[in-house]
Amino acid sequence: MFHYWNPYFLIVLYVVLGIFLPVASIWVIGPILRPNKPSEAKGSTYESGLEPVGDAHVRYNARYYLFALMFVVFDVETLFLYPWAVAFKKLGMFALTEMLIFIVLLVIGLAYAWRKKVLEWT
Amino acid sequence: MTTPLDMLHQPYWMTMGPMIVVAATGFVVMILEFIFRKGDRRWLTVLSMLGVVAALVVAIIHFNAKPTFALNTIGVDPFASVFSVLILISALLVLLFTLDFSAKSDVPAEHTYLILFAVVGALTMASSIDLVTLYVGLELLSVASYVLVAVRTHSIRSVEGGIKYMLMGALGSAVLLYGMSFIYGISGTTNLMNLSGAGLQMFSTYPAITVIGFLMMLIGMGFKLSLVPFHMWTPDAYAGAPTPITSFLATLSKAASFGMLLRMLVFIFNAPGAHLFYWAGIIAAITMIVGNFIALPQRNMKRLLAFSSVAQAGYILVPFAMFGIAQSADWAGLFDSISFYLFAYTFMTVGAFAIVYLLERDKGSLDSDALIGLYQRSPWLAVALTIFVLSLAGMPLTAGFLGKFYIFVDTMHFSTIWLGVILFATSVVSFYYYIGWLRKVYQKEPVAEVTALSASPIMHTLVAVCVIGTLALGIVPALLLHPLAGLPWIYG
Amino acid sequence: MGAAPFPVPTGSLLALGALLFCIGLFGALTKRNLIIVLVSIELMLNAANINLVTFSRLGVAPSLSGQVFSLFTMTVAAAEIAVGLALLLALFRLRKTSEVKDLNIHKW
Repeated sequence: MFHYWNPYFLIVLYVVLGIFLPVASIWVIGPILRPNKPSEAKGSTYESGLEPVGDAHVRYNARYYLFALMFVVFDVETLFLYPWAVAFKKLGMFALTEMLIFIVLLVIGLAYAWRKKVLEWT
Repeated sequence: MTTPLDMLHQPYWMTMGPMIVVAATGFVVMILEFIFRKGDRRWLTVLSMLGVVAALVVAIIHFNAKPTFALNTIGVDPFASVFSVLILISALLVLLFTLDFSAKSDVPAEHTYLILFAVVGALTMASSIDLVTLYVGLELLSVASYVLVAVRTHSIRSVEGGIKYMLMGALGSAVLLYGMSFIYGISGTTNLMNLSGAGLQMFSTYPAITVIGFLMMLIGMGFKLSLVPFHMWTPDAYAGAPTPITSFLATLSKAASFGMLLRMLVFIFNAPGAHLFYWAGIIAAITMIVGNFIALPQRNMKRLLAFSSVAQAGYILVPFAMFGIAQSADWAGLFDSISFYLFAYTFMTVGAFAIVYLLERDKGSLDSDALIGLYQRSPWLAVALTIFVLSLAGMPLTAGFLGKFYIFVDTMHFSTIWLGVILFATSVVSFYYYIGWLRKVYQKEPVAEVTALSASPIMHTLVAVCVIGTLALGIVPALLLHPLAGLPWIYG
Repeated sequence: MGAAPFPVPTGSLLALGALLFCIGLFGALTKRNLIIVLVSIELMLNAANINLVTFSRLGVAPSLSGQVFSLFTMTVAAAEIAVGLALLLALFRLRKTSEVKDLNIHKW
């Protein structure tokens, strides 16, 4: 039983400390120790020391989504390469051929995207 | 343990022949499509049709093959053969439909190979005996369908229908997958053959989890089959999609999903889970009632056909409820009624959508007033529409009547007569809206001179094939029932 | 399979899966932004993955097929989400919106 609860005890300890330290420093100990002199410059948004410009809610170019979804598809396809690579010696020639077919299909997909001008930024 | 050498010597051609042919055609068409970008590209569709015909030949050659499975995953058995042939025939009809469509419209040529890839998914669903491949096949079909619905990217109706379909479809597949994970968990295998053996023990040890698994799988497939109460996407997706694609959703995708549901439920939850099949009966009853009653006030022809297809899915689900009650010796009869109805449904639905498509193009509107004066304008198309509509309603001498009749007889035979009564009563309701169409078809148009409805030879061929199919199955059902009756559905 | 006893009981892992599934279902049914709805559906699929992997190690009859299944699920989910994002992009170009309530062209 102890063996099972032990990791959880550590996690609970971390959580308690993680909550206690920021709460104590920001709301309890901080206000007691620091002087209180508010001004307008102090209340503005901190942007690496520069004057803040514009709104935080900017829309990204929709083009990013196209790249993102191309990336998602090809990224996840490589998932199949890892188990194959780990067991490569056991699987041998047949799996190699299968993987080559798989990669050729991926290349067709990439060529398709290229041809359909998905990869261009216009 | 299969060694790599064993993997080379599997009966791949016999078990996966149709899939290999269709997938190869799909890739060839895809590459050709992005090489040749100019001019009339309808030859791509013709090429796809040739590929599907070749696959159909392969499927028919192995129709009566002894049940064989490659790597215990995908194989040929009576069930796979019947559903593969059904899927390939409806793919052929849909491709013929798009052949006329792509000549005049603004749809990009992508739909040709997307349909082919969807067919590969459908064939996988029909012939897999492993949960993993079944799921991958279902997703291949679904993802291709989402894109097909939204293929007109500049039309907001099309895109909106596609998004709704995609959200509900993804939700459904998540629920289905969660159910599958429990079935895998309490049996330790994803193979349906092993699962059908492990069933009894699974039920006695973990009854609650089994029920959760069953219901989640039924609900997940319910989203795909647009069973009530998971049907909300259906009218929007059907109305938003280009009409050939709508006929694709209504026939091919539905047939494949029914095949997959049937195989999963019967293999996993056979004898020991008898009481669970009752749920399928309840969902079937709700689907029949709601589908038919919501169809009543519809004026948009495609939306009416969408709700009608919801109701038809309810009819087809009725025999599912009886697998629990029937002895396994009687299952062959239930398989026969389901596949007969699906064949009949394919012909009449594609035919009805074909004529709706012609009217839509002619009048530019989907309102059912477009039907007025159709008999005056084109008597042959009006008679064809009459046959399809009467068949959908279930009038004698048509395929739809016999399909319903067989299902009704099944309900009497297995003493679930309440389902049969609901089937009969809701069919009577459906007569009301179908007859409303016919009244408009034979009404005279108030203008003096009438012009014939323009239709290309391709559309005439498509309508003629569907009429022949509907009437032949209605008058000489033995054409289909005879080969079905000879099949050894239950084996091993 | 593994020789050392796994330090977490099956029940906790399944509860995690069920919790994720419920959060996902709740999000998918109530959220107004389509991207959040897609994220919620992804959560539901991941709940199924957690179940599969749990059962493949700690199930009644542990086997590798659960892990293989979850590999396939991840790929398929990625494809589904890619199509979802593409459809959202098409919608955004036409309507400049990604809210569920704006999907109101079809009426019955």
